[in-house]
Amino acid sequence: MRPSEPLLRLLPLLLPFSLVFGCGLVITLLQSFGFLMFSYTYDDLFFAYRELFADSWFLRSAAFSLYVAAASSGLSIAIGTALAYALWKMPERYRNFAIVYKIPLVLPHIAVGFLAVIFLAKTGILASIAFHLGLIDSFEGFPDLLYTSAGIDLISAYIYKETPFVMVMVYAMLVRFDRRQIDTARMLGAGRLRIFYTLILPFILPAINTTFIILFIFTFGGFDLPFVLGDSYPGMLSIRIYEYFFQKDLALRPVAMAMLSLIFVFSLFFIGMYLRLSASLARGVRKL
Amino acid sequence: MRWLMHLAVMWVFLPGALNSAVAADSGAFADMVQQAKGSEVKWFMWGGSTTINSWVDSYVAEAVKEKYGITLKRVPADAAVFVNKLLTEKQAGGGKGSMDLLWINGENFKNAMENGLLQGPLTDLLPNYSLVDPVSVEFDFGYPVRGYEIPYGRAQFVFEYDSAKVANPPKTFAELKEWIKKNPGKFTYPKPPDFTGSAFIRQVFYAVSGGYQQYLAGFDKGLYTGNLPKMWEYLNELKPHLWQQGKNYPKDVAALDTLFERGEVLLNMSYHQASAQGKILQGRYKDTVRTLVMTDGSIYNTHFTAVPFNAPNRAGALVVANFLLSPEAQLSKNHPANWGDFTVLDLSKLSGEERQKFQTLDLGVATLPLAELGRVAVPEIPAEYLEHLEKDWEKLVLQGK
Repeated sequence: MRPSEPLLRLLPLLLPFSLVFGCGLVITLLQSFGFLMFSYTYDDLFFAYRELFADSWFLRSAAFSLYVAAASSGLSIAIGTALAYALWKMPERYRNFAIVYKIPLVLPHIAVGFLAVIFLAKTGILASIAFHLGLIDSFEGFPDLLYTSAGIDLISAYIYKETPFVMVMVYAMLVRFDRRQIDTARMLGAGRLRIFYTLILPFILPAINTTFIILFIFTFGGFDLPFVLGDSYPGMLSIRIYEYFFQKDLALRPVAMAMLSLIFVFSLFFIGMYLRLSASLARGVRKL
Repeated sequence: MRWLMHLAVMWVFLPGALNSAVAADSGAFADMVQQAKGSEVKWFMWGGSTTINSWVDSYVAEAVKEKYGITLKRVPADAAVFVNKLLTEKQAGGGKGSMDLLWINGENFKNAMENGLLQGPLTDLLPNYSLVDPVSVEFDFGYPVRGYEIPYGRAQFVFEYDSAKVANPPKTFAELKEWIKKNPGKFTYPKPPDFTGSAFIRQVFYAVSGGYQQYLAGFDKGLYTGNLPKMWEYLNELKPHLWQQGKNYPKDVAALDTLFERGEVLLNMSYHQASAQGKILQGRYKDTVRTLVMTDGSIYNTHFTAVPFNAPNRAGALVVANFLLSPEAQLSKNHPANWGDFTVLDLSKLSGEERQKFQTLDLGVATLPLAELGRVAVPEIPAEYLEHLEKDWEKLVLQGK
């Protein structure tokens, strides 16, 4: 097979994909500079970018998106990996019952958003449990968990939705692991932690890395959960984009496009950095 | 602004736009009815209210099928979304579009007009338009309508409260401020640019700066910047006493409705005078919920239908728009169980019997009588003020201390 052959074979798929994706990208970029904006014209090529950085909102919003994406992806990875590992170590006959963990996978994000509202609202299920336990006198005493700048509602909803995804990815990797290696390690006197960190973790790390990138990028630009949850200010970037695209004066649309362009550039940068970092870390790990 | 000049140029060359305004010609309308027979009309409209949706799907769809043989397809979409779709269709050029009739008003109408997305003038082609007082529908958020929009309903802003929980609700914006301070955490408003939240701050703007009259002449920068501090002083004084200390606002009126239903806030608002009654009928609100208007002014607006420049079925769209303006459709729409939306017809132009029907219509206990609403009704502000207010609200209130 010549080197160009796989590319050629992918062409029927690649061509429409890159055409649609590429055109969208080009139009987004052009509109962010004020071109193709229907009957509006702009004297300043960087009008949208200037508008964006005129105050600190955009940067705060970006920081909030980063925080939510990092916290929810990181925690999902930690919890999901631990659960997948526990599941893998369970005796075979119990493993089938564990299918329940896949339930959140089939729930749409928006449904998980509403679940979060039902549980976390001041008049929600948690508040009413707290009331019956005598922890609070009235619903006013229940802390604000929804729509706050701590992002508790968003992060917990994302963790609920994404932990099973991590489990699926990590578990699929684990089933290929040769269990005899553990027995050998144990015979040589390795403890549980030692086994996990030197045998298991390096083995599943590629799955964890891929999953983290997918989750992080997805959460960073995610729209549906922030649309239901999330705070008013600064809020996630996607909500800011939505407002500029649909709710404000049409002449301000380039600002939405500028944000989309910057998110795209950032995502590319992030993937590059992460891959480079994880590669250099992997080099540091002693190969068995 | 250069786009304004483009607009001006467009107007001049818009082929025969102004002289095609022929008087309602029953012959021309009869032709359209003939042409529309057996056709399908796609009506793009906001789909957020099940009451309105079912009124359109049952009453309107059945009536136009029976009377004109037209199949009405309701397509739920936010106005900004279909204006966006039209822009793309215009940019792509050529061919027929996908929408026949739109429900549109306010800044979406302005955006559509600035980009030549609508056809017109149309109102003079419709026989039922003669029942409307043209002066009452001359402007849509300060933007001249010029026959490009066909009026079909009227709504007014009201506050909602549960009379079992709130005995003496505030009656002016000054009283509202005191009430909020006495009931911390029990009031909030949807975050502008939400439609209802934006209308709330406009009313505050009117109330604290000496009334609406001064703004109707069009955008005046000096006037605006002079009066703006009064509004944000008022809103920022409220802020620490609002729901979640004013750090967060419900993202739209539906989110505020939910807070109100659960009792987390005690005052709600709606840009639709009969919405509380509708929710009582649906069983979402307790039957002790009532509405009120502030005596220093309550904004009303007219909503319209319009036909896009590339409508595949223009005749059908106009026949449906004309039907929506008919006394029977307007009366049905005015019924609280159907929608409760007010009529745009000039009652003095109706026959005695028809007028009687409108006047004796039972609007329900939660809806204020027409006369009471009419006493405090004030017109909408020109769209340019609206855009500035929304922008400055973000800067001075949301981001402010």
